[in-house]
Amino acid sequence: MSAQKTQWIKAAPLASVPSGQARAVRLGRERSIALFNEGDHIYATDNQCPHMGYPLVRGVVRHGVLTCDWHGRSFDLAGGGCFNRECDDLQTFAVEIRGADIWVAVPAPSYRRREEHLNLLWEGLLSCDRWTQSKAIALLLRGDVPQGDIVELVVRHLGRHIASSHEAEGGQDVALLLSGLQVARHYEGEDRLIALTTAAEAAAGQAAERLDVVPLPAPVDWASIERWVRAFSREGQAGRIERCLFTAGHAGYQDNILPLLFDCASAPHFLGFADHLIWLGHLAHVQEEFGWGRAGELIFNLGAKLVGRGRGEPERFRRDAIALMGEMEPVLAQTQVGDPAVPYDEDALAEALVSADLEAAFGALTEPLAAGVCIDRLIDTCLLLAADRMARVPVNVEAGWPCLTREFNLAAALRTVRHYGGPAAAARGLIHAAWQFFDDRWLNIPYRPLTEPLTTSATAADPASIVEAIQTLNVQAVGPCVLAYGLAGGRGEPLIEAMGRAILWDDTAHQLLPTLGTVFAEWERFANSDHPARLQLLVGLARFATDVRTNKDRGAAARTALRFAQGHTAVDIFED
Amino acid sequence: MSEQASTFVPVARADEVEEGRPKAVRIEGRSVALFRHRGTLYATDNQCPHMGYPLTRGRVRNGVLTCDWHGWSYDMRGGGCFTGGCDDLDTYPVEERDGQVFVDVAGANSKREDAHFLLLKEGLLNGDNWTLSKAIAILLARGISEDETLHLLVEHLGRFVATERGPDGGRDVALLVNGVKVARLYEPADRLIPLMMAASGAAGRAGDRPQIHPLPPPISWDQLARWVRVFSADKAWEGIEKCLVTARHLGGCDERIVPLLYECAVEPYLLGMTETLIHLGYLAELLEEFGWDRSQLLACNLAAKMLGRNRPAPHEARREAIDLFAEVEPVVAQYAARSGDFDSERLAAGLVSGDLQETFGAVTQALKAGADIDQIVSTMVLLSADRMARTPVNMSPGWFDLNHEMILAASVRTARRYAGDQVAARALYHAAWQFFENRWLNIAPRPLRAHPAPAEASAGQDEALAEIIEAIQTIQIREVGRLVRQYLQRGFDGDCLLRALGQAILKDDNGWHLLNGLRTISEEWTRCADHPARGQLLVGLARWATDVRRNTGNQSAVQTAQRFARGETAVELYE
Repeated sequence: MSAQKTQWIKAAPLASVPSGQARAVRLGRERSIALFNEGDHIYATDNQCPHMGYPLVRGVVRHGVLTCDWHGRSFDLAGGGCFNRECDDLQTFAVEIRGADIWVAVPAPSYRRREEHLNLLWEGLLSCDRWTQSKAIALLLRGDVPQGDIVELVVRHLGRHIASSHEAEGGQDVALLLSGLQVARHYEGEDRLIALTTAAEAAAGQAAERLDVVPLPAPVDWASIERWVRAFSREGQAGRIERCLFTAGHAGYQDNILPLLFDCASAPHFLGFADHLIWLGHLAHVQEEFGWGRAGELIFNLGAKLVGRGRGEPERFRRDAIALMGEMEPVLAQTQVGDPAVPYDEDALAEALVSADLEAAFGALTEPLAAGVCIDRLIDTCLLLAADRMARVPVNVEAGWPCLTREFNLAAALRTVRHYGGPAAAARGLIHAAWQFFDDRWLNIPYRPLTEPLTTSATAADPASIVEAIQTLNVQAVGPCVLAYGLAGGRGEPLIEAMGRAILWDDTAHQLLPTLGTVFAEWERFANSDHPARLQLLVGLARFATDVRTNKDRGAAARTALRFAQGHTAVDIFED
Repeated sequence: MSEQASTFVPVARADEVEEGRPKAVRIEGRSVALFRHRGTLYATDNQCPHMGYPLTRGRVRNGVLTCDWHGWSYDMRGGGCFTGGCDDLDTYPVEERDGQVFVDVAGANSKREDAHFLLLKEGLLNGDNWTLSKAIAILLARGISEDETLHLLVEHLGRFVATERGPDGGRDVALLVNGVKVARLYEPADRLIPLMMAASGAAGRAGDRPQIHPLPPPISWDQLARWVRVFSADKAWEGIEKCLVTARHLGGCDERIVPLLYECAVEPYLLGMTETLIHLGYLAELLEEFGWDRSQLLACNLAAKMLGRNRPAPHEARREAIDLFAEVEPVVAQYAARSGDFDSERLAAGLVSGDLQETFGAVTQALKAGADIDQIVSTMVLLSADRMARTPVNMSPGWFDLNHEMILAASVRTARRYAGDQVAARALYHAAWQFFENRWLNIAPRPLRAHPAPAEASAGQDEALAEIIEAIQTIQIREVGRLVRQYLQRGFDGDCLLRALGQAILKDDNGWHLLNGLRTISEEWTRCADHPARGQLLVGLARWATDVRRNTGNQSAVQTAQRFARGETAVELYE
C-alpha cells in the first residue's frame, strides 16, 4: 500500500553536493531533507534530528556515522539507526542518481513508530527527563495513538515506581496523575498536552524489579484478612498488609478491598493524616478507570503503604482528638446516608468547625449525624467552608495554601469515601475534616455565615481580564473581580477553563493541579444549586493561582515538543 | 484420600496444650509446635522458617503467630508468612480425640516447592547475605542442580549491572565467575562459601530498562566491527552496546564478538585500565559457560561500558607508554611462535627494572625471539608470585597491586584462548605496564630459577600442614612464609596445602578480597608444574592471606545456614 504512495522526487543537481559535504533541500512544504555525499555515495535523511530537531546538515559524518552538532546524538547514515538512548531512529530515504541529478524516494507520510515512541516515553519516565516525556507524548498524540494507551503505560510505570522506589508519599504522585488526566479532559490541543505531560511527570522516577508478591496459602477467608489488615494497620506494618490485600484480590474479594482501606484510613489514630483519605480517593478512581488487572499492584502496594504507615506518638491535641473521636464511635458507626428533608443549621456547623474548639467542632458534626441529616449536605458544608476560607484568607502574611487546599480537597474526597466506604466511613472522614479545620486555626480567618449572600463593590470583569489579573499577580484585585463576574451571572465553566489554562502553563501547575481538578468537578456538582457560597469555588481558585504564581513558563518543553511533533524545528533557521 | 486419615498419630495429651502455653513435640525427628488459640488446636513446624528459632516461644494474636527472635509473623492456619517474601511455614492437620492430640504428619501442606528459588531471588534483590546463604545452603542440601541456580545468578547480574553499575560491574562478574570456579575446586560440602560469594556478586537492585533494539538494516558485521572500534576509541559506550545488540540480532557472528572486544581492549588507549582485560576474560568465560542467549544483556552492556569507559587524560608516564606501545606494533603484527630460545631471567629482570623502555623492551625481545606466549605468561605470573612471597610487610606490602599484576598476567592466557596470538601479544604489554606501575613496591629483583629442588617426601606432612594453617590463623606473618617454603622443600604435597590454604582463606572475612587471587593461583599452580619457582605461588598466597587476615569469621552466617538447611536449629536448646 504505502509502496504505491512512494514518490520519486528530483531533489538537487549532483554537482550541488560536493564530496564530503552536505546540503538541505526542501521537498514539499513540510519536509526538509538532508543530502550527504560521503565516500562518493549520496545519502538522504530527514534533516531534523529526532532528538531535538536541529538540522543534521550541520552535523559531522565519520565512518558512516552522522553526529548531530547540538547534543551529539549519532545515527547510522545509511540505515538511520540511532546509537544513543532516549532518541529514536532517523528516517532515511532511497537515493538514485539519474543523469546529473539526485532523486529521492519519499514515502507518503505515515505513522509507524507507535512502539518506538511508547518506549521513548518509558525511557523519559525512568530518567525523569521532561523533554523526552513531552516529545514522546506529543508524537504519540500526533500519530493518533489513543490517549488511553499512553496513560496505561504511565500508570503501569507509576505502579512499579511506587512499589519499588517510593513510600506512602507516592500518593501525591497518584493524586497529580489523576488530577492531570481529569483536567486534561476539559482541553484540546496544546492545552491538553501540557495537562498530560504535567500528569505524566508526576509518574516519573526510577523503578526496579521486586520480589513477586504471592497469595497467602489456603485456607484463608475474608474474615481473617479483614481482621489482619486492621491489626497490621494499627501497628503500622505496611508490608504485611500488602500480602493480605494481594491474597484478597486473588481470592475474589476485590470488592471488599477499597471499603476496608477507607475504613482503616478513617480510623481515629489516623487523625492528622488527611492526605491519606485524599490519596485513597484517587486510588479508587485509578481502580475504576484501569481495573484490577492493570492497577492491582499500585492499589495493593500504595494502599498498604497508606493504611500501614507508622504514625509516631501523637502530640497533646491529637491525643485528645483521638480519644474524643473514639467516644463518638457509637454514633459514627450507626451513620446512615440520611434524609435530605431533615433540616439543619449550616451556619452553626460552619461556625463550630472554625471555632478552634475541638469538642464544639466534633460535637457540631455528631449532632446532625445522629439526627439523620443527609451526609452529602454535611460534606457540601465542609467543602464550601473550605472554599470560602480560600476566597478570604489574607495574603499579606503566609496564606497557608497547602493547609487550605487540604481542607478543600479532603472535603471533596469524602464523596469518594462515602461511595466506597459507606456512610460510616464518610462520617469518620467528616471528623478528619473537622480536625483539619481545627488544626488550621492558626490561619486566623474570621467566621462568616456561609448562607449569607456575597457582595462586592468591584465591577464585573470578563474571563480575559481575570486571567490578566492572575498573570500580573494582582492578588488583591483578582478575588473581587471574580466575585463580581459571578454575581453578574457570568458562567463558571468558561472562567474555570480560562483560569485553568493560565495555571497549566505556569511553573506552579503541579501545586494547583489537584485543586483545579476539584474545582472543575465541584462546580459541576453545584451547577443547579443556588447556594450563595458556591461562587467562592471560583474566587478561591483565582486567589490561590495568583498568589503562588511565579510567571516562570513551565510550558517551554511542551510547546517545543508540540512544534517538534508538527515538524516545526530549528531547520528553518538554517535553510539555504 | 481418606486413607490418609490413618497417618494421624497421637503426639500429646490434650491437657498438655493449653491456651497461651504451646508445646513442642518431636514427630519423625521434626520438631512440631502445638498451640491452642481461642479454643482451636493448631500444629505448625516449630522452626521459624526465617532463622530456625522455636515458634513455641513466639506470641499468638488474632490467629497470627509471631516469632520472638526477629518478629517474623505467620498465619497459624495456612502458614502464610506476612514478613519475608518466601518464608511460609509448614502447618499440619490436627485433631483432638479422646483427650489426645493427633497430628497428620503426612498432611503437612508443604509450601511452594520452588520456595528456595524465590528465596534466592529475594537475596539477589536485597543483597542480604543471610538470605543468600540460606537459599544456597537449601539448594545444595536438596541436591538441586547447580546449573539452575547459576542461570538465575547470571540473568540477575545482567539486569543489575545494566541499570546500576558502570564499568566496575566487571568486579561483580569477577566474583560470580571466580566464586563458581573456586567452588568447583572443592567437594560439595565446602562449596557453600564460594557459591555465596558468587551469589553476592550477582546481587543488587535490578532496575527497569527498556530493551535496546537493533539498528535497522542495511547492516553488515564489518560495519558493526568498525563502529565498535570507533566508539571504543571515542568513549561512546551507548553506541557500542547498540552495535553489539545488533550483531547478536544479525546472527551468525557470535563467534566474532569476543575477539572483537579483545581487539579493542588491548588498544594502547586502554593501557593502565588494567581491569578491562581481566574482566573481559571473566566475561568471555561466562559467555562460554552460559551461552549468549542467557548472558546477552550482561555481556553487551558491560562490555560496552568497559570499552567505552571514561578515561582520564594520560599522565606523563602513561603518555610515554602509549607512544612506545604504538611503536612496537610491527613486532606484534609479525609475531609467530617459534620454539626459539627465550631468556626468561632477562624478561623478568626487564619487567621489574623500573624503566619503561626496558620493561617494554624485554617483552619485545621475547616476542622477536618467537617465545611461546604461554611461557612468557608463566614467567610473568611466577615473577609476581615471587614478589608476593618476598614483599616486605613492615610497611604497605601492596597486596592489591601485586594481586592485580598476577591476575592480569594470567589473564593473557584467557585473551589468547579467545582472541588469538596477536591480541595476546598486545595484552603482554598491558601486563608489563602493570609491573612498571608497581615499581614503588621496591622489591629487590632476584633470579627466578634460583630455587633448590625439593627433597624426597618424608613423614610429618600433616603436622607441617597444621602448623601452617595455625600460623595463618594466629597471624604469624613473619613465620608463615618460611613454614610454607620448608613444607615444600621437604617434598610434601602442594595440592593438599593449596586446598587447606583456600579453605582457611574463604572462611575468613577477607576471603572476598582473595577470591580472584585464589582462583588464579590454584590454576597457575597446575600450569606451572615444572617450574622451580612454582612454590612461590603458595608462599605468596599464604603470606598475603596472613597479612590481611581479620579473623572476624566469614563463616558464621554460612555455618548457620548450613545447619539450618540440615534442619539443625535453635529448637533443640528449648526442648
